[in-house]
Amino acid sequence: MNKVDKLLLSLVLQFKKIYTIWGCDIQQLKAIVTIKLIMDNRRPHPLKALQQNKNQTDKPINNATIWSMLGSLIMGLFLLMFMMFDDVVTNLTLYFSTFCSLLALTLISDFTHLLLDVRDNYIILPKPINDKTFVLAKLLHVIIHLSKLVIPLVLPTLIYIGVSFSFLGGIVFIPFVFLATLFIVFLVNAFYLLVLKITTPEKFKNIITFIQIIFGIGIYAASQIIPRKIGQTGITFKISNYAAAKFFPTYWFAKSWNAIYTLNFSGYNVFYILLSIIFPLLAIYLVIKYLAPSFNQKLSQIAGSNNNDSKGNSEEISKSKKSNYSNKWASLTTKTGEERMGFLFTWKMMLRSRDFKLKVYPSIGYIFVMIFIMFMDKKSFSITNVINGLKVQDTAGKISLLMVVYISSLVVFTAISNMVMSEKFKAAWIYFVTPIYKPGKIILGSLKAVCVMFLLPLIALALVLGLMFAGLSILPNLALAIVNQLLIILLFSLLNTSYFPFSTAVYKPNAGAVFKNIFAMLFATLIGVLHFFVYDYILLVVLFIALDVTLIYFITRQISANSWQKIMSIYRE
Amino acid sequence: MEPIIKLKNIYKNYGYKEVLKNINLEIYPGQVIGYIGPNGAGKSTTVKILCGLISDFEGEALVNGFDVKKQPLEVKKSIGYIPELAELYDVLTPHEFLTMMGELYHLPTNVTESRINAMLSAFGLLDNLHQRMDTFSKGMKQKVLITSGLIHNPDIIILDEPLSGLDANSVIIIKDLISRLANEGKTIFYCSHMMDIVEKVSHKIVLINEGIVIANGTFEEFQEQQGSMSLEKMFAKLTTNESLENSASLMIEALK
Repeated sequence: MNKVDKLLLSLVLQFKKIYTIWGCDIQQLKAIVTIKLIMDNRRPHPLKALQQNKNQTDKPINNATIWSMLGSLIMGLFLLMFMMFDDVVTNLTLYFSTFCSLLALTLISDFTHLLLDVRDNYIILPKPINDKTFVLAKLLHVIIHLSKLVIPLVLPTLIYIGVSFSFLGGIVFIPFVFLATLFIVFLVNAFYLLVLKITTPEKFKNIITFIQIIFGIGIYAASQIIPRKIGQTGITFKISNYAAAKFFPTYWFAKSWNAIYTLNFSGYNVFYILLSIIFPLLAIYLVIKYLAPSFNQKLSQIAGSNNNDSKGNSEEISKSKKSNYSNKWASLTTKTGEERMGFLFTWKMMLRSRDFKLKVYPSIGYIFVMIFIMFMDKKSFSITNVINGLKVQDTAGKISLLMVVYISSLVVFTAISNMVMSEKFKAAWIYFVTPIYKPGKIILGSLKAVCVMFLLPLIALALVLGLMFAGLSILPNLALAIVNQLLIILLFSLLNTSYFPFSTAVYKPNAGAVFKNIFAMLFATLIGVLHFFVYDYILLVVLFIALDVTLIYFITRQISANSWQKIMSIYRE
Repeated sequence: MEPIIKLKNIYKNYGYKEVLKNINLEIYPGQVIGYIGPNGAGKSTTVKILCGLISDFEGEALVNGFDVKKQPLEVKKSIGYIPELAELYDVLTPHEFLTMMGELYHLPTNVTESRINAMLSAFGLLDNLHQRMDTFSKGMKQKVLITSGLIHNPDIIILDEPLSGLDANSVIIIKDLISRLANEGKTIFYCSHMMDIVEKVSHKIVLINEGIVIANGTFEEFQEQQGSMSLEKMFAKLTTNESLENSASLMIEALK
């Protein structure tokens, strides 16, 4: 156990006497919390786990705690930027809001580990431990975990307040951080309980994944948009000018701190103070009283092997509908045999693999945010301008059309590079024990699946919007943009992937891959620029389409001709 | 002699589903009980009741003289539970994991320490004492689990499929260990699907199907009733209506 954990553990164990009075067993309490902290320390950081190159052969994770605390501290320093406005209440409201969202984001992913370790039921519960000890151990574990997150996150601001206001101001700040933390614990808890109430434990993790994705995109969007919005008003920006602010607990916290610091207890200020104290406490009370009792039941359900039979049936019906859709596309785009198998397998895995979703879906969100910001920022690219531009096909119209289509292809790139990875990569023995004559065909099938799933909807959207605003005249250029996309994607994968879908733990791009990727990106940009210049010459456009189609034909042949020798050489490495 | 485990009129249901329907069992110290039954027969529910994990059942369950409903902690103290494979905090090292187990049973630190050393060296795992278990083979993990179930020297040992993933040599060790523990007066509750091993190690065999005990006695008694055949055959005869040979021939038929 590291020093931080030791210190925090000895701090929470200061109240031994109280725990004993409650009927807890200190020795067992300490043993459980200790082991849980050691395990936390070896858990990969969620952000780290998201990275592409998680190398399994790397050294075992040993100092997760220190690293995540360091991460928190950096975030904490980052939060200092909210102290830039003239108005203290505005500063603190923004600070508390960001603090709360960060905390919520971390807790939503961490709570599964903190509270839902199914192995507890087999390892700890059969031991002679009373309920109170077990519950308190969980609680202390959560408290220590929270302190490790919150303390470094708050420290920079606390020091800032202590220095630039007064020591007393800093002291007053602490209870509000505590209340804000309590409030977030309530929110996350309530969220968990609610989700567990309306859904089955089996689906629970999928929902959490989904929320994490949405949250990630939301934070990215906020971090991109809010500074721009605020930048327009400058440092005189005042949150109290917005009536809606009054409904946010983070605003209450800021208001109350200011009231206590300035000793101004007039009017609404007392109301805000009361609100910020009573609300979190009441919320926590409600969770404990009404929602939590069912929590343990659900928890044991997750562990129990007794699944309800009725659920399975209803799910199967919806599945067969889905597979109709994928079957249709499979038979449209692929030949029977290996290629179709590759298509259908990849399709299903992309829909069901949590790992894949967690990596690819956020990047899709980021790309949309990027596109949105692109249009939000520039006056010449305002929606009306673009729509008009598309109609008359002027420069603004052309650029936005091309940008949207070409940037969207990033989605497909992300999907392709993630499609080869899987946690269950060992299951890839199926490719090697079966007599596959043309392994390249499986790879081609899986590429087609990615294109149908991710490129097709974008094409459809571009087509609908293009036809709606610009009419038929846009078709040739749209067609060129689309075949260009296909060409770029296929070229990219020809240069890079000779992996089977979902067959490797880490995506190790082969030698010179960085160079190749840069080349692919340059190539994509070049094609985009080229497209911009030939935009108005319909004859050239048609010519390029023809050229593209020919190239695509040859590249697909090349990919499907991937031999065993080439593929095996990669897996042997 | 008083039975060390006594189940009387046990009923248990999950919602509308009745899992145990009137289970009655008496087990005496020093016995090895082979507890067998098809998947979903109620085996693991029985184990959960014995371990004091479930209290909302009907009937009376006494373990080592303690009422499972009223004194679950006393029950847990006298039981060593060895769960099925993979239920392990595998980011820990065996030493860390077993030390925690010792603490949870209130063993003095030096006793825990010496037992960990002695038991793991008997299993040939001493060199791996401070390695994380996520790199261990199935057999190594299972050995750590077995150690964790025995470390507090319990009177009753509940084993749930303890041989899965073990190599032939380890199987010999465990089988030997089971009979030696029984000689020492320990009671062994052995759940398994491996009929040939149950047949060999158990003094008494309890066959449960759909929540009802359908056979209870020594293997010899079974043979007197059912004729001389292997336990595997008896199991098939007692727990299925269709003939198993028939499904095999249907499989062959399907290939033609």
